[in-house]
Amino acid sequence: MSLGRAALSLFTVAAILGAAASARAADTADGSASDSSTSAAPSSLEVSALVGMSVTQGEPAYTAATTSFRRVGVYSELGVGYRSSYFIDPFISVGYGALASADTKLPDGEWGSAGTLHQNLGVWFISPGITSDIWRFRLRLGIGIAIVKESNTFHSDKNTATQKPLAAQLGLGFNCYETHRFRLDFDLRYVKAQGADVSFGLFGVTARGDLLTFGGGN
Amino acid sequence: MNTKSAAFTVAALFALSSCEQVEEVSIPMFPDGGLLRTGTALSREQLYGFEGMFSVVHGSALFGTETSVRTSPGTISILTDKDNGYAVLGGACLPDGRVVVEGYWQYPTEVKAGLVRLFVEQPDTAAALCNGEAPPPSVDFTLAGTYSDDNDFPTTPLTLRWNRELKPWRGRFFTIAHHGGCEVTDYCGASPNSLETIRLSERVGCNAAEVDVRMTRDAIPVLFHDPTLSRALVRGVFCNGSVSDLTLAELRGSCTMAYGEIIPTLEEALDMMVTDTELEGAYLDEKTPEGVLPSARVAAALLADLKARNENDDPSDDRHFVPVVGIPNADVLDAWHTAKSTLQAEGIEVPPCLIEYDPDLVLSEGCVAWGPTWTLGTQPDNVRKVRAGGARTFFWTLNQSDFVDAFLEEAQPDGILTGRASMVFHRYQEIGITPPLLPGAAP
Repeated sequence: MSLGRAALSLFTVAAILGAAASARAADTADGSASDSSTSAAPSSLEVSALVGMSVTQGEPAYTAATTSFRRVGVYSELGVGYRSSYFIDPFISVGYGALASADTKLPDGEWGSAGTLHQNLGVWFISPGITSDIWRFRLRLGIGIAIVKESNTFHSDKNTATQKPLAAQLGLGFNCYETHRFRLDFDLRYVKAQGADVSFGLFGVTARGDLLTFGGGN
Repeated sequence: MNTKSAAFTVAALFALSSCEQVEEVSIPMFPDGGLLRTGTALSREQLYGFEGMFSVVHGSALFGTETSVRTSPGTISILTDKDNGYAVLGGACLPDGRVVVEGYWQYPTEVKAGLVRLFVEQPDTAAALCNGEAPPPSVDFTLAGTYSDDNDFPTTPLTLRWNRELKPWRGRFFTIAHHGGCEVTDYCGASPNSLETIRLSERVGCNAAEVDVRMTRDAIPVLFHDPTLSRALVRGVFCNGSVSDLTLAELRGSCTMAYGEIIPTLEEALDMMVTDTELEGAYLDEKTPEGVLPSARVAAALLADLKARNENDDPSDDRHFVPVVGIPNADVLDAWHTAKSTLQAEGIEVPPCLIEYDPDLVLSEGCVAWGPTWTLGTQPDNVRKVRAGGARTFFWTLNQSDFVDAFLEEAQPDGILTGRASMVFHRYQEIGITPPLLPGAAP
């Protein structure tokens, strides 16, 4: 998916949801039936924390020379969102994942004698976006900046390179526990950093709590 | 389904359906190596006899009404301006006395390719070739056979008849590969700046190659265009960052080019050009000032080696090839001045240079070529001025035939840098003016 198309997709989403929200607001103004649970929920400033397991797509460049490859990693994230009385809730999140690692054998070359290149892939992901709660499901779309960190060690020489491509995320959460100001979700996510050829799926648990509440809804 | 679930479903489907689709590139091949596998390959000297302008008697839908045929080691190339097409063929004498010329054709900008199988039509000529002779071409020399689409067996008639000799081009007019045989968006199955695309460039009409030079973290010049290891050019889940952030070992261990090739060092690329091709020169497009001195050292070492080969008593190892350090801006020019001083202080012969932006600087700096961008126009007066000073002019980067025609006719340059080599070579043969042979100057 090109970044332009991803952005277009998100704008399309926003337009569709905006139109739906307008229609819903008009319905409410007309006095027609509305979702009583939504209208009863107060708006809030919500903080969230996610911890999960990531699975990174893609392969090392030289699979035949790669003696070990681990694509399962750990991802954690902190976020802040505005939980509105409408069904679109904006958020911003910052996450870090230790995504993958590998050992690749290199022959003799201009770098000297043969040896093993230890590779580690990590990513910071800063993403604004929107969520929408539908019954106990929470849909999530976001686009932001990924800071991809590639750490290598070869012949005891450690080195880190970074790249900062745009990235997009798509997620589906399921709310399994809820109290007045606290919620616990299971989350499935897909994150793609187009320019760096890094994409990963994620399964995690998200804890969300209201930091501030604003009145009793609209 | 209520309004919001419908909206989000539509949005999610839209987002997922816009996933990138990559065209598979498949170069057609005869099963089991075709007839070439059963025959005796024609020698380099014999292949020269196939060169010329050929009328297309049958098959003009594929190659137009006239094509250029040139040869390189092991290859006979049919070059045309129709859809920038070409055919890359091999030639062999078969056990039954026929001479087959077969391989594949391709329109590189489209996913269109197929197989070609031709035979030397005249029995006398075929017999002479099979006797190891190299008969000179004549108007009777005809290649007749068939072509196909994709991997289908060739059945559509294709007949080429020799019409006239090629205009002089070796050492005269330079069709310069724009970091390889075709552009990054093409379907050639080779990545820009790879050894494979440089090999291909000769087979599709080039006699020199421009390559992009960047420095690794451990100061080794490698061929790569972008500062960042962008997804359009490389593969590998651990291939991230900038070229200058990684050592050569890290690059080699983490990245392949888009079609699985290694990222070559400049030294590897120049060695390959000298050893495996008949390319006459390389234009080292210095992307950073830091790369100038290391590149100049590699070029100087190669020139010293070639000089020793060409001055010894064994003419069989002679090889004329000139790497030129390309200077695109004032920062790189400053680095070039430093590199020159350093090499001269070390007693190393300074390699030739090319300046892209100022024709007057070409002469005052003692460079061998000027490499202006086409966007500044044909500039015929500057071309003449540079030529009068003993240097050549190579315009970059021309990929459209109408522009190529305009530059060939108005500027009459010494070469054109292109990603459409077959078209440029053919247009030069059709309408180009042969540049004068400049003694001592090379690309």
